[in-house]
Amino acid sequence: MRRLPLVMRIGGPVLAIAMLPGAVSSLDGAAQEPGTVPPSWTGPVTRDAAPSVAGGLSAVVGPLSGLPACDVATASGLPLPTRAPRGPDPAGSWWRLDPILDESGWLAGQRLHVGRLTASGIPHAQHVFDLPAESFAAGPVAGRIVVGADDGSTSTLSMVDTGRSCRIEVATEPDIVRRAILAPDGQTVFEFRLARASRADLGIWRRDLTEPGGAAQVLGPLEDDERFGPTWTTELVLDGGGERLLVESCGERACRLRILDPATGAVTLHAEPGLGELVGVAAGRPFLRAACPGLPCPVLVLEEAGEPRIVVEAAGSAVLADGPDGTRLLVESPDGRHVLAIDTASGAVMRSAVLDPGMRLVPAPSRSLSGVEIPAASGHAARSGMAAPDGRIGDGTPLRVLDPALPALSDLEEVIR
Amino acid sequence: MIAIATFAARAGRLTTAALLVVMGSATLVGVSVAPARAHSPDPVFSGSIWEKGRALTFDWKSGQVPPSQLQTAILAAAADSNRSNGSRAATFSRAIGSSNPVAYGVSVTCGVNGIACFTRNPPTGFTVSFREQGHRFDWGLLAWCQMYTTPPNGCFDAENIALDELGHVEILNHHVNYSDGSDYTDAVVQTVSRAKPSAGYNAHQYGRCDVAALQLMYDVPSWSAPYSTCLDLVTTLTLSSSASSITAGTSIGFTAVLKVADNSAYRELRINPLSSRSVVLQRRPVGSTSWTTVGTVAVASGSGTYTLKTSPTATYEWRAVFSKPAAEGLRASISPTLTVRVASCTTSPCPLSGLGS
Repeated sequence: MRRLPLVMRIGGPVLAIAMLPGAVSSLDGAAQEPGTVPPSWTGPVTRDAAPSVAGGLSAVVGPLSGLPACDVATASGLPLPTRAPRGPDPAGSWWRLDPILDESGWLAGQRLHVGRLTASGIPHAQHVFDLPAESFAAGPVAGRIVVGADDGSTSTLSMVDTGRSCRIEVATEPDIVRRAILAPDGQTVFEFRLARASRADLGIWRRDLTEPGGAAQVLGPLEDDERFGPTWTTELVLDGGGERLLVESCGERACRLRILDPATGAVTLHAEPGLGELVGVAAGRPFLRAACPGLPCPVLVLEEAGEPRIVVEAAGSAVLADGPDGTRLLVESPDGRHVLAIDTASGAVMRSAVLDPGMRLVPAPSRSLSGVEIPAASGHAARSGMAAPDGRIGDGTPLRVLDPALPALSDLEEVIR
Repeated sequence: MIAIATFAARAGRLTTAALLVVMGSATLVGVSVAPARAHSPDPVFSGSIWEKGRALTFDWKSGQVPPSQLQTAILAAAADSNRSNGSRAATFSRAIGSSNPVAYGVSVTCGVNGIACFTRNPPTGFTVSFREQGHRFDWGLLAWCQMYTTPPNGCFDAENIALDELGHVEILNHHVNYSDGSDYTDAVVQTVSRAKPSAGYNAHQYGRCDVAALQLMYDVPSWSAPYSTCLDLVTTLTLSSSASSITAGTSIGFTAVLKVADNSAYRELRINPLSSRSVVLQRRPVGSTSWTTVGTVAVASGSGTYTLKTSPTATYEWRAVFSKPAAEGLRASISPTLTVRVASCTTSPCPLSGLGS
């Protein structure tokens, strides 16, 4: 376990008494936050006074430097995995990001927990990393968690191999790598990048981990569309087999979705101002939220042909889960007390389960800032509906599974056994 | 087993145009038929409303307590909402231990793109969440104005954003603006949040079109309360007299009743009595085309009722007139005409003539 100095946990919230390197460069009063800005944004945002940093912070060489490097071959300086993952970490793996706040409530960094599941299916943190504010995590895919961290001058892309408890340094980039995901083949990483000075969209890039050399752009920047305004967030999702990359670009209210076939380069754009966040993909069809300011909110499906179809009119958190009868849409009832399994074709409620107080359906990693991969040996579907405290995977917290074929939520342990 | 009476799950196809209307599970309210147009009341969500006048409480979420500056802004927004809702909407206040959490930081209820978000589920409860100061979006860094001694341009006013969220909790969806945004300040509950120094970025009371929707959904707080100018409600005015014929010089009482018209689109405002307005009584000789104002009809004790006594000396046609108020969304109305016949006095002593109207 590695922690940066001068960071401590005080009570429930994560507080830092010092700014992390990435945060210092962007939040310090003497620095300017680079970036494109909303239409009404007229100048850089700085804080009144930089927080005191007792003793200063030493430079960090890679955000995961406290973790031993995996035994990897290198070619032209590019670290390569020794083997392509063949399936999930047998124990299952997970991660979670939490904001690190300074005593004033400013985001000073992000704390990443990564780990495996215990024999009884409880997430257990193996490692904790304090990352700059501009950081992300994705996966796990075959026990590997992609970690991106930007220190204000360089973005570092790494992976944690939970099974071997080691790190793989993937790349450092002068551009801001805002998001990255690992494809199911374990060898391909897709990245979304921004220009460092302007934060302009630089498009989507693909990196082959088995080949030396850098990444190549596979999708250009998203064109401006005044109906959507500036892009607030961009998220990457691969469909089940990894054949198609879904790029979700959300304005303040609505989202645009580009679907890329990396093999052919073909791109399909969905740009309807009524569409919101991506929930997931089933049988090649994207399921999305309507563009809602809050919950409950409808869930829609984009059919191969024709107009979007409402699957559920009023849903809380929503995810797709696979079962023996096919894929089901799992949604929280608006009162948050139940999880319902809904037939994606008919909209009929097939099953329901009571959520214990405090437990919520775990939505996509982009919302929950957490992710989990269930052990393959459990015989359970790789894509399962999970319930956890506050809807987020967490260290030592119970994790319950809603199998669309089962009548109720089960402890993960029961499912594994 | 789950009771899913309130849980709507159905399959249905949407046209692209319909999808725009469905956004946010909203229905459109207003005195005119959808689609929404600018300067009309905010659209509203399709869910239930809170009990009218219900006192809702909230408390800071354990482990995700907002910084003190944001706490102050959120509490101020609650007061703003209570003060400016112009309706019988729910009120908000902080109560320690409340089951309705207000959080700061990560919340699974927030979309990836929001700076704040909410859940609402009347009558059970609600949540509100705010992104942390310094949260990174693709365009840059989120800044709350309240976190600065001298707020920089580009910051978002937390009190304004909190008021927007509380409006959502009530039932309001985003206002539909003119394409040029010239009516932006008609609503706080907006799709696009404005940062300092754009007009409206620090509005601390509901806009008139927020209030209009709240009034339609929750009713007005009293019969004398003003109606939002974002409404354009038809009114009805009736006039009756204590007698249809009198002897000259005899006193007669006129009673006018002013109401909001009976129109289902007016929702809770339908056939509301309208008290404390200005209603005048007019008369004209039978056959004449010009009316003379007799006087302002006094407000009576009954709801929306106005009375005036007079002693006409000749036969007249009478009517009551309600002129459109400059500061209310009510249309003018005129009562149907009634005739009061006045007979000459034939037996002495006659009532004094010439003293009546």
